Amino acid sequence: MKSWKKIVAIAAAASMMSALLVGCADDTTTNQPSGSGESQSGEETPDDTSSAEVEEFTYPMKDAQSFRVLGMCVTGVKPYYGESNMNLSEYTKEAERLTGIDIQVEHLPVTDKTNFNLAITNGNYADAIEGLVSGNYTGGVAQAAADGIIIPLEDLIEKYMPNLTALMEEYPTIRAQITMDDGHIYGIPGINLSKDEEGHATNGLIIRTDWLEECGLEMPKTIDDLYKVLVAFKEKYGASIVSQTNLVTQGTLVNAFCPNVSAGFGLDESGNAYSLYISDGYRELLSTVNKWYEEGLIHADFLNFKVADVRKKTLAGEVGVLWGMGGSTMNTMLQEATAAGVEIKVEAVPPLAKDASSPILNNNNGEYIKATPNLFITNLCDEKKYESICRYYDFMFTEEGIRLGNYGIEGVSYYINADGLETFTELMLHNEDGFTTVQMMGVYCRNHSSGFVGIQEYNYLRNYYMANPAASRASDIWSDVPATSAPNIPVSFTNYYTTAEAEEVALIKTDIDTEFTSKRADFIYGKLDVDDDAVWADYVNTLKGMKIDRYTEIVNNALDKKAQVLKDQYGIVE
Amino acid sequence: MAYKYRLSKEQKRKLIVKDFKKNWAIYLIVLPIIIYYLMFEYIPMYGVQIAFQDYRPALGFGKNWVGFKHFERFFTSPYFWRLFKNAFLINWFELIFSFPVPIIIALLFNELKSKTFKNVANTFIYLPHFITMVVVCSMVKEFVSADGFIGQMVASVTGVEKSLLLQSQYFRTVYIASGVWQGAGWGSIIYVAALQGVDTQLYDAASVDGAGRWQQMWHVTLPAIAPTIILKFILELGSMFSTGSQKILLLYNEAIYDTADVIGTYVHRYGMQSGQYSYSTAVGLFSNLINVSMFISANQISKKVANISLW
Repeated sequence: MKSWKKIVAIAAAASMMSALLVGCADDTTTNQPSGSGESQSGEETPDDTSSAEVEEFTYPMKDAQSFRVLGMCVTGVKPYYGESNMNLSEYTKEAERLTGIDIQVEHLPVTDKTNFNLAITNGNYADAIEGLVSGNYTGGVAQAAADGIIIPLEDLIEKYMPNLTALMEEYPTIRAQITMDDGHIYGIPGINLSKDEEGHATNGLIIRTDWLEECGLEMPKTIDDLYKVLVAFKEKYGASIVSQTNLVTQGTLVNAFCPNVSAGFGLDESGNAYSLYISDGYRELLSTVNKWYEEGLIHADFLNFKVADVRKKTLAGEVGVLWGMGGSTMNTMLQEATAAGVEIKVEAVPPLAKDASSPILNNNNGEYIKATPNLFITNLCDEKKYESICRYYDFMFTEEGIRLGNYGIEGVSYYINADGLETFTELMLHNEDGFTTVQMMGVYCRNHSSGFVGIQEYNYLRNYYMANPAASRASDIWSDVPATSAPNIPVSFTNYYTTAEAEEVALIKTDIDTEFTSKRADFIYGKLDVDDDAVWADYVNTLKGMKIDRYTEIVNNALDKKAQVLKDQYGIVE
Repeated sequence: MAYKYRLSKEQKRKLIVKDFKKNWAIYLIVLPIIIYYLMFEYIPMYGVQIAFQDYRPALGFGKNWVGFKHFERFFTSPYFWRLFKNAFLINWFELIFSFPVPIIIALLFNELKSKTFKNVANTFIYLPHFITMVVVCSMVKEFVSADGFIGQMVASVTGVEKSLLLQSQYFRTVYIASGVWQGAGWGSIIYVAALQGVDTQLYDAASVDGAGRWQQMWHVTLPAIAPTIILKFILELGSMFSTGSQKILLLYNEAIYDTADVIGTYVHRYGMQSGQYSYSTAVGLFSNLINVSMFISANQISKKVANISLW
């Protein structure tokens, strides 16, 4: 009897111990790929490295070093392959084949700040980091550079990246956008290169055109028009505006009231930044939305909705006007409508003016040419691997590489149509196994998703939405603004924060955002009267107490510094 | 207390060795738990030092000492009082409304005669406990939304057609009511267990003395589980300012920060979302200090008043 008890005890203890050790076991398994990567690269080490610099370089690269990169996983890879592993994707395999460079993508267990910073603390990050630094490293790129995590790249770019160099010479603003305050370039960019005549707005208002026709109304041109449409829809169909929070943070509505806004700041006539949160324009916007709420024109729960709720409610016929993205809202919704047999006609709403006498203000998101530093080489990387990494990513700026990143593999995922444009095949648009277009893009392409390196062509958007004509028109319609409209505040100004300023902004911003978002809800729902001057002054004073003026000052400093650098070094006046 | 005479060191050592030889299997069972606490509860305390530093992951521990900078920032923060008020009110109402429910359930079950019914009913009220918090919260969100059945019921009375979770005055009600639904059955287990231990002779004696069902419950059952109730109460008081922030994170939104934002969610926003590790550690450490002092004083008071305490 007693010995039996002991056996049970041992078994129980052993099983508990093993449960405890699962955490450690996991660590070793995640480490394995990195270990094998090292050994593989060891085997491939060429006998003489000097031969690399002989004459013209051609792909595939000879004597390439394999390298590890800590990266993101694109939507679609998980459903298609059953696991979040970019190494499986057709894109990665094809890139490896064309460049001759073996790349091993590693992923965080969950892509968020905590896991990223844990990886940094453990020293468990790869030779290179794709995308994750700017959003996740406390203090951003500048701080990561100051802490010695990432290395300056301008010499390497000069030496090993002829295609990127040529591009930066053609468009100096790219270099300006990725150069940091200390004068170094740390990130190889992903570039959104849309020419002026092409669309670049990816979100805005969407309207039920079948209802518009039934009511005998025209496509709204001003906020007042929109109000009339909303009233008519409410009376006839009991429908309202539905949206996520974004309705009041970006796109059509915000642009109608507050010119040239991005990331909480706008530019006034004299080119100075002003804070959206305490501007008169935004107050007007809140007052308008509050009026819509009081009259039941906007869905009461809109601050609580996710994009799936928005699509569901629209398909259920409860919605006449909605805010959404061209892809995840409009395109997906239309694909869902076809699948469910719902008859629905929607169209993008062109940019609205505040009233008949006001001009239409800008509706694009940031700069026309937008370069984001995305690929960073870390301090852990062996110097021998520098060339391979640079060559691999420079390939993404070649014609072949751009096609691969945007459209995948010719003859499989795209073909060249009669107009000479890359066009997705049926495999991508109407997949037999039921994968959506964006999921298939995750398998074959890379440049539609954040953290990419290379050039994102506008034509990929046309392809993305091609199955739905209304969605494929959307971006053009949303971007249809007069050429006279002033440019938005450039997004890349944050590169020009000093590390001390970046830290200060991080502190101020969290407080301000908390206060702003909760007061915004109070104003919209009428808990606080936005039209009452005393109430508004009280709110503005609270934000001023949280140093919003200092924040604006830092932003203006960065803008000035950026303009100075552009003028002095590249002769560009924006 | 067991030994009235003092033991020499040698004797003590011998006793321990002897005890270990005899009961080594039991020690073995305890071992993983001790290791668990060391690994996940005590060793991580080393990291609390970042509350006094400007911590940056790349540089590691022990650099950039800044003293009480982060604490000062929190004390002067405009949200300081709101966070404490919200946490306190949620806990206070929880103490009033959800704390007694498991006790009442246990007492009611104790009065049941049919054993089958008792077992079946028991199992049923435990079930919600096994639903993941994420699922419970999405259910709650659906039910109280403007289109949900609870949301509509409330709207028919108040005339405000809006999710209850967008109206700050209802947040505590939603939070506590859903908590009772999910947790009361499970919470009653400890009392049911305590009731198993009550000597049935006491009931017989009470009924001989002419006590009815009500009086039996009042004078026999309740005193029997009183120590358990008080211990639970002390534990509850100990967490007066720390609420299960996981559930609030799943339920709250910016429109109801004024009643729903508590220290845990604040720490989450500043620490996890905006990466201010040192500051959020300082905030968390401060609230833990308050909790520990609440806990100790509650224990002391109970020791003095009811002679029941944890130590």
